[in-house]
Amino acid sequence: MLSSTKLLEFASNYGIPVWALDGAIAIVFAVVLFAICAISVIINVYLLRKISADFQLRYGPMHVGWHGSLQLFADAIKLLTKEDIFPSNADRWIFRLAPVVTFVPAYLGFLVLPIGHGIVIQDLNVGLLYILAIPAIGVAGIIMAGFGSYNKYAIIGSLRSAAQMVSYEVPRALSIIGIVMIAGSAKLSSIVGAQHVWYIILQPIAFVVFLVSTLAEINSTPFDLPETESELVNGYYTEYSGMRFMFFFFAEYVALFAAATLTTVLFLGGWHGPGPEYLGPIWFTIKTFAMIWVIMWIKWTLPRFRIDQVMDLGWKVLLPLALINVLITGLVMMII
Amino acid sequence: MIEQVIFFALAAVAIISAIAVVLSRNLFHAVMILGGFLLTIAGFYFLLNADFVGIMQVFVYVGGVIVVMLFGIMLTPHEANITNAAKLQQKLGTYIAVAALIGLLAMIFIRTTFITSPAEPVKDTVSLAGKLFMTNYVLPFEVISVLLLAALVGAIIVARKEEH
Amino acid sequence: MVSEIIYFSVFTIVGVAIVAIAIGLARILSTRKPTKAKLETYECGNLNVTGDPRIQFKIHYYIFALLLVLFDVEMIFVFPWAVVFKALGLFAFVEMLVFIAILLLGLYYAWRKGVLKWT
Repeated sequence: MLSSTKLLEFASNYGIPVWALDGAIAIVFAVVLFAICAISVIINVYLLRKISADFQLRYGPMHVGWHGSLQLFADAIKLLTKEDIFPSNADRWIFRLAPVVTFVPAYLGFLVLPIGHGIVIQDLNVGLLYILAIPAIGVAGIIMAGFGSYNKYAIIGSLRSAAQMVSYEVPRALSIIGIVMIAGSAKLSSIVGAQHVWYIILQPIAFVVFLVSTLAEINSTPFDLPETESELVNGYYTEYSGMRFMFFFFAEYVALFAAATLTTVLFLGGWHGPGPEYLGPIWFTIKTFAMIWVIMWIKWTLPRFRIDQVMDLGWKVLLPLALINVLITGLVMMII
Repeated sequence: MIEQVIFFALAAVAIISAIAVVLSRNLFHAVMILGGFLLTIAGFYFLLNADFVGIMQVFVYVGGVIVVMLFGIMLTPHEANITNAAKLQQKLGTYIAVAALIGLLAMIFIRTTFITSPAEPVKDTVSLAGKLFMTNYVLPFEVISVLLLAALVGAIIVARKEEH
Repeated sequence: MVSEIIYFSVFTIVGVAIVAIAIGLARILSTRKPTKAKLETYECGNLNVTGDPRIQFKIHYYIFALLLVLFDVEMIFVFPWAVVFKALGLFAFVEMLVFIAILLLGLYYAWRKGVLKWT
């Protein structure tokens, strides 16, 4: 947490219990975090449109605002006024809850993310496990969306998504083991603190495995089978409209942002960079957006995999690679 | 003081969701509520300063077992309204089994003398767990890998039988 | 840990509240004219929905989920080991090799039996 001895003093002077103070600060942080997420989503969507346009030799959005920069606000207002359709066959409660269960875990992941030296909301000792485990709850939301809509495309899409996330969670978690071994901690701030040399240099195999499985986790192309427009009509959120649709969309871009930030923390040295320490968050932001750019570059370069290729890659290539990485890391550390 | 409040809040949510799981007629709803219930259990672990156990509870149960259950539902042919009323013997048997279980639990609860541990909570649970796995509990540690292997092979055999 | 629980709960509540507020706002601003055809399940332009979408899915999904649980359980043991690896030395390394080797045996078995193949 942020250094709060002064706040604690203040609270005890006025007889405010610690938990109330904690709760109040948490509310402020939660709202600020949501604002940061929202801003990142706005920037990411704009970047996505512009970068994809660049890759395909188009202009992308140009008319609303300077170079189409206000396009997303127009889209948001449009979605806000769209009719909220409940299909008559839908399971009402599941249908209603699905966007919440998809979005909230993605957003909760940021609770442990250190963006600068000592700038982290809750520096858990098990932060790395937290950031793997909590966003994974989102799978349940996606399956809920599929089941709740009672639509063929939605159910097939949601199950594909779940199978894919399930398969890539294993290599993703195993690829991090090498980092934990070197850093000697599962606390995210200590992992960044120990990175005098970026772990992308010390752990190249782990980086590749982690990046590929992260792409699969966030359903980014080449792993976008769950929402293939051409065959599944956007998959699990086919039946959603208006604001509920927007939160699925939101969750997807928050997940992209989270993936980029986590890669920065684990492999790109987090807040480390030249200059004084208070520039940390700026370096962090630059690296994060560089990562997002890389993900989009991959997204607009590669064609989509087939489902059997996806499964083979996860279990037969990435999982053995991740284990070999643990072995090599262990051996090298024993020798040195 | 606040610990008690959190404990009772978590307990209330846990008990209500557990009852809802049992009473829910819809299998899918039941599994979803079970996921919520398992999250509150993780909350209890955090309250006991066992952050590693708590986060693993989320990782394995909410992220893994719930998905297995959902896929299990998908495996079974879906019948919208299954209303096979239980026979009298079945009902009677159920009541007796439940009564016996409640009696047993109550007996354990009454017999146990609850103590407050004088030990200070451990700061870094993960590294302590790692040290203990590698020193005091090496044999159980290795046996667990065999157990996992057995589970895997068993699952594959059952699954393949189902396929044919 | 109390502080962590408070933060987690507050963040969850705020997250849910924001979603609820946004959807509530949309409810005020949006039009609502449900017709029977509009509320039909979407199916490629068909007006009549055919069949039950909750079909029986293939067993592969289930097996992959089971594999996930097994490797998740493995993670419980590998993570603490990795954290203290530096301090423990050769013995711990060999121990973990045996542990992972036994699990790999399982993966190899699944591979040979063709369970990992998506057909």
